[in-house]
Amino acid sequence: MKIAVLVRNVVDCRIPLPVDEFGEKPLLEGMINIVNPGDWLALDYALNSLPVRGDKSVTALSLGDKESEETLRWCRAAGAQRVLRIWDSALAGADQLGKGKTLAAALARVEPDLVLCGDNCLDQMLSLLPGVAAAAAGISYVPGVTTIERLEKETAVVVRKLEKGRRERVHVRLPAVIALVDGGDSLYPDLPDSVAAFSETVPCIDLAGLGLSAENTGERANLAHTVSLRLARPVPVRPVTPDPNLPAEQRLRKILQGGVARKQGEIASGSPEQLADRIIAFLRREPGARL
Amino acid sequence: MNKSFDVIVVGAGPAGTTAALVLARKGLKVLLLERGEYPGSKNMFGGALFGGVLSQLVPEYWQEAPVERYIHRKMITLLAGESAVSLDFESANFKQPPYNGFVIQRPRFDRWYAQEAVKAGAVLLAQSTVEDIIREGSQIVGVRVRGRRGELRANVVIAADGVLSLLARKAGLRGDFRPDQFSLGVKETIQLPPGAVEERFRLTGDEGLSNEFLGRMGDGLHGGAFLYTNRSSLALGVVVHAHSLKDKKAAIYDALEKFKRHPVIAPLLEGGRFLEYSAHLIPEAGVAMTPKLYTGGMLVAGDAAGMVLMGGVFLEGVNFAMAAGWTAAETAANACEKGRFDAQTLAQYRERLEGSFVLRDLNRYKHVLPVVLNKRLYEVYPSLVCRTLEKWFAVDGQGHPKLASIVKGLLNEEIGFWQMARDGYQLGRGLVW
Repeated sequence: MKIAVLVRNVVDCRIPLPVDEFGEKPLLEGMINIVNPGDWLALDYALNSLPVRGDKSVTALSLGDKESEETLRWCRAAGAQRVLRIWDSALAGADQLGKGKTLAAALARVEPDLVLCGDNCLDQMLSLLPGVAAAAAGISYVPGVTTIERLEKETAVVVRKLEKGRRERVHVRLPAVIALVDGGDSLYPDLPDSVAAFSETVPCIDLAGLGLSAENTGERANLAHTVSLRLARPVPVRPVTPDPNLPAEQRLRKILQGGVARKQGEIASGSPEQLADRIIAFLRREPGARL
Repeated sequence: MNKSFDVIVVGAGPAGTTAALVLARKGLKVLLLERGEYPGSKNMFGGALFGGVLSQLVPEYWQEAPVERYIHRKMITLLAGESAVSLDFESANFKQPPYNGFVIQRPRFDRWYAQEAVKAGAVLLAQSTVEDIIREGSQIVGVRVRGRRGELRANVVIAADGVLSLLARKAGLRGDFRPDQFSLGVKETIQLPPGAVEERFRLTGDEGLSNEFLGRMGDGLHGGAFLYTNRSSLALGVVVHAHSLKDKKAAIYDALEKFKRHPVIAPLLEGGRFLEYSAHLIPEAGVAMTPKLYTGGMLVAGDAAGMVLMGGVFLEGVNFAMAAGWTAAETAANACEKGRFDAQTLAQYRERLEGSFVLRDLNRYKHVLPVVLNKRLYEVYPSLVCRTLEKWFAVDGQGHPKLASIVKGLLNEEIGFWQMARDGYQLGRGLVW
């Protein structure tokens, strides 16, 4: 049985993203790309838990630029028999429909009996991709699957997770894209396999190789276009009224300065007695405190 | 299992990546192992790269490498309680290629540099922490990686695994360290408002500044501090002797906070936003802590071999690490050519290093350690110089005394002439002649 696993290379957004000096734009440096955890579990499920009778071959596919190579190398190290990267510079600005069509064309090349992926994706945009690819390929997309109970050549019976702990058993005609909510245990590739995977060349197929064109699937085919991008409005800072005890001239100067300097933190150090004195002095300065 | 690599390099820092790059260019099968998510993710240093060695390996590297600013201005500042005296050196020559040095950020630079090694043919495996060596008799033949089944074998292992080198220790090449052989450095990266770096440090375009400070750091801690200008942020930190921290039972972050609040430093940081905090141990005893550099099947390079030049007002490590990595690679390649990997064959590594600036400079500055450990360097002289100038420049209606009388008065008050003469001799022996 031929199994394809869709693997997405995502920025690890579980850790704080580095942003530029204005706090507006994520900075490339410091970002860590990882294998989407859900897809990694799906790969583990495909390799170790899938109830397949007879032979099984697993192909990991990833649509992405050069950064995706490392993701596929780890898949290869974990045991995928084949990996395939799908990329073309025309896809850089393509929408999910264009990318989905491309992925569907790649799946047609691999001719899998079953396609697996993770149900969750750290990257919100990429979470649509397996569903769109299934639609473009004209096959079913079954999300929220906890287990594949039975797997035949052309059919499968899967259990889907519903709200409030309910489960439903679904009969699926294959090939289909099945998005798993759980997978196997985390894979720890062996050293020799890792080294072998990182020594290999990762095959990459472009749009021409898939028989597609940039006009149909690239950025130019996008049905929605970004017209403009506006940054979030800054939160207005209410100017603090100057201390009424100050002379009028100083109050005016403070207002004309464009507001009073933002309150800043203060770090105190020293002996416990000194610290206590500093804290009391600090509280006395506070308008709200009455010491 | 057959030996699958000619050389395994442990650690994708400057020493390790240089070794991997040189070996891969020679057509050898080389594996570069890195414990971080990617090269540079766990690496830390002050921020200045002096690229003499790198420009020989990657000509005009600054065209491709992610550098922040070239350093054309170097300041050395003596820091006293409320005042400071600076020597400000600026050279037009440092503004020209091949440039004397650059300010860099390790996560970006190391990642770029490791990719150069990969392009040359090295295999890079990140997220792999080497935890043990594999021995066959007296020969080291490979390594084991934490949490992964299997072992990796090679003819030569180059240990470039950083200052606390587990591999050098496992191989029996070094013993326990002493606190007086290390300093602890902590660094903050502080984002400044747009244009502030140029305005506050008188910089235009890609010009950059490195500023080293000497003085008492915090409550009686001995050490120095540094400040480097990134493109739009500052890298600043303090480096304090480990024994000083131990003796005073002090926290180094207090020292950094005090440094940041110093009247000379605080205005430079105004409006800044804290981005990052990191810490690192620095081997600074030079040849006094250099381990045995080789054994059968293994070479040690970079911080792992204590190859950091500590000169009191300068602290260099990256160029030493790169030179050592290159030398280790040449030695390993030579051994592969001969097909002999025993300690006797690899002994040429030390000979080669002795012929290079690495061990020459470490030997040349071996007397600097007592200078660096001299507490008066931090507690007395910076404040002596500052107080002298303060008294001399002060216009208080009492008239200007001559400089000699101020110095004499303060010297007698602080340490006395003979003590200063002895310290002067020590300083001269360490740094001047």
